[in-house]
Amino acid sequence: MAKSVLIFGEKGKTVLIYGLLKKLILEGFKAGYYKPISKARYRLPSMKFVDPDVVAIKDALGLQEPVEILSPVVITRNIVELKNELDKVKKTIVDNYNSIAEGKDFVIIEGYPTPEILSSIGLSVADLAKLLNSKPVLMINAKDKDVVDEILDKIQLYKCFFEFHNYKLDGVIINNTPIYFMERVNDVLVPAIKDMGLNVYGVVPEKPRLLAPTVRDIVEVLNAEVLENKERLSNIVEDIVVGAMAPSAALRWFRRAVNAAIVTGGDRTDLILAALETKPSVVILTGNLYPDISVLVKAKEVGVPILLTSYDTYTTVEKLREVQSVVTADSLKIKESYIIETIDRELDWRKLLNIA
Amino acid sequence: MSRNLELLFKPRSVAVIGASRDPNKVGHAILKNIIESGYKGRVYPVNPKADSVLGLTAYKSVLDIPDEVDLAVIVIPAQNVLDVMEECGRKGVKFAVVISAGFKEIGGEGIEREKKLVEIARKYGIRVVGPNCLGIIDMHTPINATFGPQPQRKGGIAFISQSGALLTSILDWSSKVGIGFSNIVSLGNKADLNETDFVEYLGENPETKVILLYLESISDGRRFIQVTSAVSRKKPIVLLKGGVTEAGARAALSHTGAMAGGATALKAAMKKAGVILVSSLSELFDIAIAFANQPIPQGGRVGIVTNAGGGGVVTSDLAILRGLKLASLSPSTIDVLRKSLPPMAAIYNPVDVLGDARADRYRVAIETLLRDPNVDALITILTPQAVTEPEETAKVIIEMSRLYIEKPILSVFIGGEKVEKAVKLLIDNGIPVYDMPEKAVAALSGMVMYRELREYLAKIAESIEVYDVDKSTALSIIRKALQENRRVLLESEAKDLVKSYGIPVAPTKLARNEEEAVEIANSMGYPVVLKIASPDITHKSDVGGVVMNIRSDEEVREAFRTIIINVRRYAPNASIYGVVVQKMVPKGREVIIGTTKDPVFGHIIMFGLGGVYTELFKDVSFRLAPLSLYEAKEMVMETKAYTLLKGFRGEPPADIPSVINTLIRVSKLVTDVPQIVEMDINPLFVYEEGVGALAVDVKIVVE
Repeated sequence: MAKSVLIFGEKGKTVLIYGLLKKLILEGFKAGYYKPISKARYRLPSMKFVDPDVVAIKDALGLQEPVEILSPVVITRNIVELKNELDKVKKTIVDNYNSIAEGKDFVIIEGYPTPEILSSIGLSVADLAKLLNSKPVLMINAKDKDVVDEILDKIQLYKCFFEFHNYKLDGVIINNTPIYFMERVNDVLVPAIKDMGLNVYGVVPEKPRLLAPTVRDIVEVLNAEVLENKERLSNIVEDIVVGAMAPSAALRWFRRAVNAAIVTGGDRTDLILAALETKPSVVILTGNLYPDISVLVKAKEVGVPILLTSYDTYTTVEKLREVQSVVTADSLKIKESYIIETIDRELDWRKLLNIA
Repeated sequence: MSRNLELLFKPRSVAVIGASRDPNKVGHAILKNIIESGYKGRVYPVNPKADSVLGLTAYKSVLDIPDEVDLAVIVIPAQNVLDVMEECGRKGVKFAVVISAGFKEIGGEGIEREKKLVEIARKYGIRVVGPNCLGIIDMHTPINATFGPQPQRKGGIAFISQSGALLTSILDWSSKVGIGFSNIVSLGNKADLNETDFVEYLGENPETKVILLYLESISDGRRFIQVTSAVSRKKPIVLLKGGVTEAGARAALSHTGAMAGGATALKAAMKKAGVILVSSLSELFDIAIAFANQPIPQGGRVGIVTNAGGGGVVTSDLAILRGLKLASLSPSTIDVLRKSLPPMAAIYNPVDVLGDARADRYRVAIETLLRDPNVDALITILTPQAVTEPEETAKVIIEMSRLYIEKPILSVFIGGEKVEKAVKLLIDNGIPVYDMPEKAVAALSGMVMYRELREYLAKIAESIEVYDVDKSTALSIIRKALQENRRVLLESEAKDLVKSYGIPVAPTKLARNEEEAVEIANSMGYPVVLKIASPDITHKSDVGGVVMNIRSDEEVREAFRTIIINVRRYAPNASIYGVVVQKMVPKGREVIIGTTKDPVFGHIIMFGLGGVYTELFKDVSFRLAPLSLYEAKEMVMETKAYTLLKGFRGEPPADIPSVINTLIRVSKLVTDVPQIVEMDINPLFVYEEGVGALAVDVKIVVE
């Protein structure tokens, strides 16, 4: 029978789950993915609500199961009504799990960010773990803590939540840990977590690249036209710089950014040329202003893709921010080796999956 | 690859590929121009559909020509150019002028086509002018391989232009104003030969006296400076650069990166190159006319002779504005003038010979001034009054010019028909003549500038070597940052880097946590400063990332926490590497030394008042790296900061040699390690004479 691990909690789950699955596949195991309860963040052309994380993992791994199997419960608005059909919902969740687990060595289940979701109707994350006989592991995002020691309190809360539901929280992964927290986490917090009777499967340092989208993702979200270097859309975008200053001043900002998307108006020829000089990941021209030919010539020369979008600069930047928090199949595949390297280096994945 | 372009301008044989029988076609105009320019070599039209063009036997292909071909002028549709270039290569053609458009300038497929064009040229060793150009002219060969108008006058002016259309109109206009050319080059897309190649050749060409450039871009800034600085010692180079706006130079002047660049970089670079930079087309040619026939003045003291008081006043004002000096005439000159001129005449410079002056009165005034050792150059102004003798006066000027060959004479004949003949006479005899005083003044100031530039080049030629540097340490610091995917160095790294080049820094170390910070503080000794270490934060104090004057372990811990909390609040997206601990150093006089890498010319070095004063006074000087000792000294001396350093109001003088030493070392650093694209040492604390200087904050961006 397949072993299963349920990873739930704060930001960063999808990317690491993808890494774990990929790692297992590379090691010769058969691995499945399941996200029984998810939040609707995206509407397909078929008007069906989906969680983009599910679509990303399905596409990146080429999973055969349809989205409805991988993600049966998609929360849109109402929760209370689900109570009336709780048995049916539970049955679907178990049935889908079984069909995914069929013939697999491992199933990694992605949980909802908060443990209390659906607890009012008796389907909290603890209930879910119990239902699927899965090992629950909590993911903590260290970066968003003002005081790093808060991590302990949070874990304590989750631990109690599980105890209340008569199931045991197995362990934690501390993700997105800034350098200045690292020592405190390793020397003080990890031993304290172990004293609570929990496993610590890894302390992953802050790595902005893990969440970085590709230029192709940006093309999609901006509905942009690619004017030059169509073959370079796999560049990763880790930084956003708006070009609105005089060219000589702008150079100063462009030079500091690494793998940047530089956003400016198509009519700012001098500025775009200065931007291209620093070889960013992409230059995005806003307001549907078609650039001067010299811009395209230079772009070709340095191999930087140029996008044209009809959005204004402000909206463009907002959309870029959004895309940074959405995982896509393209970005997962492009960053695959980096993600796997992170899993290898930062996670005790064998222990997490009980592989001897 | 040979850089000698002799056979391009003086080919023994020319093939015109795409020579057409249709007079409306460019391929026809070019062949016609070659023939009509009086070209003495052999001409071969190539046209697969004609047996003869303009009376010459035509060939189906360049390969069919039963002779060697030095120069091929290609004027066929772009899509056929590559095939023809292959043929030229097999034929052994040495130079190709590709007139055809449809290359890089159209983008897309044109870019690819141009790349292939260069590949073929390299393969066969053909040097290419263009594509997308008007062609070339050598008036002394003579050959006109353009489709522009036929220039009438040969002379010493070479004109290299990146704009073909501009060239056409200049050619048309030049005949009217009497400009004599030696060479004309239309650069086009500069796929192979660029401005520097031509400047290098024309520098050696005895028929060229002055080189004019109209450029929109400079292909290889470093080589351009290297070549022009050598050529400009022999003959003047005048540049009109299109696409320079002052907007960049006026931008917020808080850091080197913002201050240098664009116009500033261009100016600094041209100073180093000895190139005269002008800002208008008319200035370009006004200066050229003067250089073409007149000697370089020994100084900037100008004498003015006029028959109109107003003309004299206006010219004087303009001359002063342009940085020229009005010569103060010697007592003997004044004496002679007083005796020879009517009592009403103004005998002090400008010399007014009055409205009723005939040629003889001009002669006295001109000759007396030219004899005066206090006069380096002369401007003669003539306005046609009732008894004025324009032609006779012109003859006097011509005669004087031949007698006093070491002093330039420029003339201003203001008027229309009344001065027409005189003007022509002057032109024919090589006297620069202008219709307005401002043009003559611009021309003369250009000549004086050239003399100064030439002297300057000699002064800065002496290079200074610094040996006690540790390049491998510098490189390893940069390598580490790039491996961590950072372009901005942490303050501790930046300081270690400049320290490896012998620049003293305030001791600084990175602490990743509170305990480490306490340890470092203890090893340095209190008081210390704590500053945030993040590549994403440029203005540390703006985000609450700096705590000064820390005196105990407890204060270090407190400051560490405060900084992290502040920065996370005010710059939530910044990635934080920890906090740097820096030893508090005694306050000195604050200056800034910075550098930014211009995409075209390389590193520009800046010096000025440091700290908050940088932004307040914008008191800065710029030079292109590498700096000579002379330049470094000059940079310090031309700012107000110098007054401060020398000791203002009873203050003892500061250690100026240590500032110059730092400038030289920064120059050495960026020359050795060009990966540094931006650097600011701000402030550099300068202590009293003999005590030295200390870099308190250093920012470095690498690529």
